[in-house]
Amino acid sequence: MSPLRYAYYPGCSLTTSAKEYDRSVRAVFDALGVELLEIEGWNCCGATPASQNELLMYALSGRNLAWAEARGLDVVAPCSECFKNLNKTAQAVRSDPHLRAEVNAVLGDVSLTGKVRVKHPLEVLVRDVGLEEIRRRVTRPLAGLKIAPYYGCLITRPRNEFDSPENPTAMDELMAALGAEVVDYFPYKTHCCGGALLLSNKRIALGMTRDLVLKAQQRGANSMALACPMCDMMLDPYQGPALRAGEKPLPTFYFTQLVGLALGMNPDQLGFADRVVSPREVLAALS
Amino acid sequence: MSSPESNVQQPPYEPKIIGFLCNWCSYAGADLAGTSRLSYPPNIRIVRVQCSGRVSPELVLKAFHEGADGVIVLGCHIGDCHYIDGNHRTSKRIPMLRQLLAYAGIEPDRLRLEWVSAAEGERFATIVKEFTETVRELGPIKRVMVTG
Amino acid sequence: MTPTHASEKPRIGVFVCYCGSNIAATVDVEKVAEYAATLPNVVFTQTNKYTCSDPGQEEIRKAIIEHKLNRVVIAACSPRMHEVTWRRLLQGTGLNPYLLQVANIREHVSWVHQDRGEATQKAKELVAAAVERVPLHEPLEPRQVKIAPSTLIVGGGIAGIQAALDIANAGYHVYLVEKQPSIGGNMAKLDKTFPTLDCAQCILAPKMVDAGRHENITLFSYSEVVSVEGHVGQFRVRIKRKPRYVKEDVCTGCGLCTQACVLKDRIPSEFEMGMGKRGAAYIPFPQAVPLKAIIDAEHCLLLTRGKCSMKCVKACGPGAIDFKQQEEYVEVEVGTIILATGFELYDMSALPQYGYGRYDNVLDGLQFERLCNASGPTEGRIVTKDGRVPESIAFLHCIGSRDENTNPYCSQLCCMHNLKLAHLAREKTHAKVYQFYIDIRAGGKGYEEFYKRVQHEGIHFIRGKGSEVIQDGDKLIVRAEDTLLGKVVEVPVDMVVLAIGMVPPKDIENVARIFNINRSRDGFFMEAHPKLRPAETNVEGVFLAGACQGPKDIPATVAHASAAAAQALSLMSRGQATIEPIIAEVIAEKCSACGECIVACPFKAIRMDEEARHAYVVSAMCKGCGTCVAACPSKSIKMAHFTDQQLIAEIEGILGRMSEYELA
Repeated sequence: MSPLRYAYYPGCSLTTSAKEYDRSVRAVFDALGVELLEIEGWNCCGATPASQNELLMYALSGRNLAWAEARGLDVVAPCSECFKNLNKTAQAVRSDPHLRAEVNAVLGDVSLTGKVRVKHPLEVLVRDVGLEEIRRRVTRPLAGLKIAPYYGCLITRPRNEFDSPENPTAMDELMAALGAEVVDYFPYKTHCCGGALLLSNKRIALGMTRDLVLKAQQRGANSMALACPMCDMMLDPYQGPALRAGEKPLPTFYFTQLVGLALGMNPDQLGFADRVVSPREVLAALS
Repeated sequence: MSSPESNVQQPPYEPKIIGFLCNWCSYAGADLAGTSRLSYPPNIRIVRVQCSGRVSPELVLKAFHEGADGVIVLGCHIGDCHYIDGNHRTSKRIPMLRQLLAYAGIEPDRLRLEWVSAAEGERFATIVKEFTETVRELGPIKRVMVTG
Repeated sequence: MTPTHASEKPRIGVFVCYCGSNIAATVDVEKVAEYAATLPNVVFTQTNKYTCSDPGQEEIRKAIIEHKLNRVVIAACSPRMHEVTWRRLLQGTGLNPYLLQVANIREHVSWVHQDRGEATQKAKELVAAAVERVPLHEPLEPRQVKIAPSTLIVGGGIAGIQAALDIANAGYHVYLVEKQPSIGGNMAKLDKTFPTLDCAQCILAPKMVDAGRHENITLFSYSEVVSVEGHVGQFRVRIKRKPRYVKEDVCTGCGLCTQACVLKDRIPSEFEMGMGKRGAAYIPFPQAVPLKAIIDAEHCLLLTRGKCSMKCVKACGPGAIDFKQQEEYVEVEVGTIILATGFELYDMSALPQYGYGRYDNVLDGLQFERLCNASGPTEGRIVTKDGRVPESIAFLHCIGSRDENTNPYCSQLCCMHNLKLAHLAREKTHAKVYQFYIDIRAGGKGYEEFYKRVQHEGIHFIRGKGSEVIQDGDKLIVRAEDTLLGKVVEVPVDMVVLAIGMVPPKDIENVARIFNINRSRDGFFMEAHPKLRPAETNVEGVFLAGACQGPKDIPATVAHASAAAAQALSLMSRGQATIEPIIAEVIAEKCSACGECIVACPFKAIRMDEEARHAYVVSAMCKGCGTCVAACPSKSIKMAHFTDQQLIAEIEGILGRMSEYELA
């Protein structure tokens, strides 16, 4: 089998607030022999202008995709907002020739057919690398971690073949393969983290975050796996403000940090030091 | 400045397309596109046959010979054929014929086979749009004069 | 003296239809007629306001006679619409009906193109193609077939029962085939029926008994149709009778075996929608027809493990239990067929957010019916799984209906069904009742009035589709957006009832194949015309009754079933039908006896005359697909009305005119 190669789209969050996500994705993929080629001169996925001008969103997204398509590579995008926008663009350009022509007219010297596929790193690990291979590579099983797998609202949308939008299970399977105990986190696993409301209605946003933490603990979790920088913002730095006096914080991790840990990597290499809710206690149990 | 001659506009190229449609699924699907008022390019001319299995290579070649730029054969989905499995034959015959067209200097993409059910008016309109564009891009068919 | 045709010089009349403004709005009908007049062999042209109307037909009739026309081209709507009408018209003037060619300038031109110039041009070409083709038409004689005076009805729910009784009462024989051990279908599971609140079983049971006892009805319960051959009037049907392991003619329906079964009350009952239990030996429900026991081969210890104390055998006085029973096949010949295969509920595995099958007190509407029913598993008490009387119940509308992710269509009866269940819930429990709805659809006799009545029974209507159900301790929390208040609400309740959408049964694809009929986009069987032929299919002699054609409530189902019965009866009382003479014929002197056509024929209608060394077509078996023609390497098979020459003339007609257009 030829080695897996992808075009890598970090996006703005992974260079700022979610550096540990970026570090852990790169480290884990490298350890598993998956090659990531960072898209040269990548630009915004279109998240911000998307609400203003649809064509602009498709065109911004499309420019990144065109680089990958020209090299015959599929794209990996860890941030779920970026993933959603790039994936939506690829699907729309593929199925709508009229839109394709419009987008290509905007792009000018590069062009897009829509052949390119966009994948979340979760899909790459579970489907392309495969759970069997990952299980084989685990050197430090995560026994003692009781993980609530939290998907957020975006990585299963727009509806795709990879996983169910209402009850996704890929991260459940991946965490189990790492030797962790996975708590049944349905239906909260896809509930809103509140991030979209943080600026407009902080009280409600924090209430939603608190609810997610308490529900996970009620189900017996001692930690949570995340797949999105926005969810991370709510469930790590904002978890403190969300909880009330006397409520116990719940350590949260990017799922790729947990994969790296199970593969035996040094926690420093995976950015564990950047977590706001201290993971020390729960990780101590791992020995 | 342009000369008077160059003002004489060449009519834009409009491909000529013959569609062989089976009576039970695809012709009904085309009718449904009509009843639903779905618009598609006017280039296609539909010839009704009972089953897509009736479309012999001779009929397809005759259409190209008479000047069609594209031929599309539409039948019932596999498993839904009104004549049990008449379309199984079609599904082998047309791909084979596409290969042979290449020998005759005709681009295989000028011949297309699709399945359209009686309920798929929208699918019919979409396929016709796409195929018309495909043939338009290929341009007028190259006429090979056979002598002797 | 009627004119003879084939040998005469063609005299073609071309009639171009305005179809009111349906064609004329986009196609210049007069220009098309003028153009037609210039074509070879055309001696007469005319435009008509409505070619299919009486005056329109009269004009054509007159023209045929006055101008001694021997070929007719009509440019109008799809031949699937009125070809038969105009063939009859030709026949009335003494012309052979097959000397007609229809150019479809409505469905394929005026309704799909906007540019008047382009549309008119295309119409001209299609007329030219018809004018090229029609001189090559040959007079054909329709084949007459006898209609056997019997009907096969597939499905024994209320639709099948109604149709069976209508036909049997008219004196024709019915073979009623039901997949389940008893007839009755979904209606038998209902407690009350809206809007009158009659007891469902009280109005259905007498009909079930009638159907079971009628001298003109042969009931095959626990049976399935496996194949159908032939055509209208003479369908040969093969029926598989699955083993009941109980001799139907010996069993008295006493039920002693069901009491004796070792697995008594251990297996979820299908009739009780899993809410109640049965044994491996069981009678589906007290009013079952036939009222016979059955042994469930999937669970019976003897049949699965080969070991059991066989208490059922000892309990059975008349000795009806027979573990040696095998599958049996029965063949019947019928003249007509009615499909009444009903519906199923949408498969909820794609909608996990409602907790159906996951949380104990999330039910579907039929399960709730069983709770309400006095003969149901709780004897009519509405209680939660752990026996509590619910203090609050939420009814969620449109689950698996009107939803782009599942089914776009409306299941039509769930609004009324939910209102009825809400009424029953209030009557029996005084619980707080919520209705989460998109909008209430109460179109039907007495329906809106019933809706008004229920509104006054203290039921809370929340306009917003339930989006999710979450278990929180003893409570279920229903989330929805209340679109009138413009905010998200979370309502804790003890029980949730989902109005799950109606979908075609899982095996409908297979049934469609067996009977050779089409399905519409929603997956249900497709009728011949959505307005005017709702009970017919594209196969002559095969009719549709009830929800197999699309979601229907009981009144609509019964009306549809009677319509299907009337269609079948009218065919059978006529006693004969004509079938199209569009069949293949082997030209013996050209045939090289290679046998390709024999392999190609889907109907095994071609055989080899070994002595004369040529193939021949058994005309009664030929359906006219033409697959053999395309397969024949020596072009020695002729397909009536679709000959190579005719199709080539049509192609030449189209492309010849196209080139002219280009030069002009």
